[in-house]
Amino acid sequence: MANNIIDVRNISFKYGDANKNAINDLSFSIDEGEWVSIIGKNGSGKTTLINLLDGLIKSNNGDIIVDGLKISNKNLDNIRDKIGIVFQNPANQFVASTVKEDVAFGLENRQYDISKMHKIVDNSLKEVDMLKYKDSNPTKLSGGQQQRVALAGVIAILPKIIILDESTSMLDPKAKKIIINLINKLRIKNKLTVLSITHDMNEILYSDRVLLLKDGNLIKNISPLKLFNELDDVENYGLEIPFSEKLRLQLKKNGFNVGNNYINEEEIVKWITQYYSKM
Amino acid sequence: MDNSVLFKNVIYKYQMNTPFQHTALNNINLKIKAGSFVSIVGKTGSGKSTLVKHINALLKPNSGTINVGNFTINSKTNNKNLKKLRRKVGMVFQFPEQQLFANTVKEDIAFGPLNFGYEEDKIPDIVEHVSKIVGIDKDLLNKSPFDLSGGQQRRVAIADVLATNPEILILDEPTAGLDPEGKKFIMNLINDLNKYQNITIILVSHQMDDVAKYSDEVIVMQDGNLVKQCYPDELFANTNLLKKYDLQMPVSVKINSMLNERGFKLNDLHLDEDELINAIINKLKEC
Repeated sequence: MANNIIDVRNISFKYGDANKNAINDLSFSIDEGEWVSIIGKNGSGKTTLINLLDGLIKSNNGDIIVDGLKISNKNLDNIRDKIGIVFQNPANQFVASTVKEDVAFGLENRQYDISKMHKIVDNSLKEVDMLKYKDSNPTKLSGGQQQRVALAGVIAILPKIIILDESTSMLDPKAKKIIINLINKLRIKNKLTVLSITHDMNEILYSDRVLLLKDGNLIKNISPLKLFNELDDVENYGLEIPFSEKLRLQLKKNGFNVGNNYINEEEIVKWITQYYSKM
Repeated sequence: MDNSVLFKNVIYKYQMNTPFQHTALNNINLKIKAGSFVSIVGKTGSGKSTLVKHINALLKPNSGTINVGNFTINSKTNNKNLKKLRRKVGMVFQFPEQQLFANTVKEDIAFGPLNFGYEEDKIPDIVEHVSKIVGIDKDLLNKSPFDLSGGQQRRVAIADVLATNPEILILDEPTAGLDPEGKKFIMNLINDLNKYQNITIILVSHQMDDVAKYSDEVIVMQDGNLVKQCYPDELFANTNLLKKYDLQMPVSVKINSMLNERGFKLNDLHLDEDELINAIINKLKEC
């Protein structure tokens, strides 16, 4: 059986003078190597949850255990070495004037030996196919390239967990695909666990599991294929229903037997044309 | 007065007379009718943003002219005389919330009109009016814009621009980074501004589904050239054109062409997703 890498036990969190919890008695666990999507509307608690996992804020109740370590002030540095976060807007994250210096920033912070640093930076940039840009100014790169540099900075510190905080939401569809494929490749190669906050259905479909949050509560812990079938008010959760799924649900409503699981565009087109040719 | 936008032989080069010189706009001719909803599409780097920056003279052409109503912009246009033009042409940049700066939402919205010399006693009405249009609650007006959610900040940034009462509104990727609900809200808002307030909309977007759904006309840019200006149906009905210009197919077009290839032929092209679903179901029910 796979190892448990994140264990969240009955955590709650309330912001300052708010009148209700932003996170409300949340419990779940994630296995090493899993890809889990966290979904929910703005204000559902997704970002608060990430901040709790990274120890940026402290829960009022409950425990969070990351790779065997319970989060506390004492071991925050240890925990943060295990977690790398790629944020939504890469332009806000760059600190250096060249790509290589930017990737090295996390290593410098952790006081890596300079002689090793060059090699780590080069390797990380190679992994994301950005080595030839190592002397470029990061602000001159396209959004997709910037996110690849941000990802290189994250993998340079060899995290066990990568958190994607809407990392692809600003990218065009092509760049999105490149990033997601890249992360999946790295996940398999380095046995990474991926936790992704997203509204993007293609990204959700990559995941093994989906955690659906609403008002700080965990509403569903479910396979992405079952998601739309089990929610009749999907739009209330800040999700865009893919067209193939809209079509499947409407066909079902009209008495056609299209099954209960998510099917993609290819599959639904095949279903329709087969049904039609049998008539 | 007619507020059409007219480009005549517009050429713009970045970093002129340096080894990095790069032609961003290559002899552009176009007309955007007053009151229309026009989308500008094309790959990253094709010249879309450069093009729209010429409409309020943020960039001036190296050669050629741009007419916006009775304004003429050319290489010699003086920056001093642009206030009226900038009032007429509102510009919502990418991630406009990054430009919020005031202590309160109210002050942020009031900044533009004050800057353009509106009388101070008229400001509260303007703030109330535009915040209502963009769906910002009254009780948010005294809050810091930085305490709002991303979606709310985007709306305030649009209110900032609307506050100066533009007749032409340019929006560069206005829904990027928003959740589906926020996207829908912004697109409906833009559409309402066009349909009910007769504001000309010039939308720069990669979201072909939105472009197909809302625009009266589409302008396609490729490598600094205007390669096509047409009705959305003409562009989206032609999958070869979409491939040629490296444009994402709207999902309705994609499904339609996949069905077509497998012998399931619908009579009409339905760009609207719900219409397409109905057409498919009706055809299946017939058999």
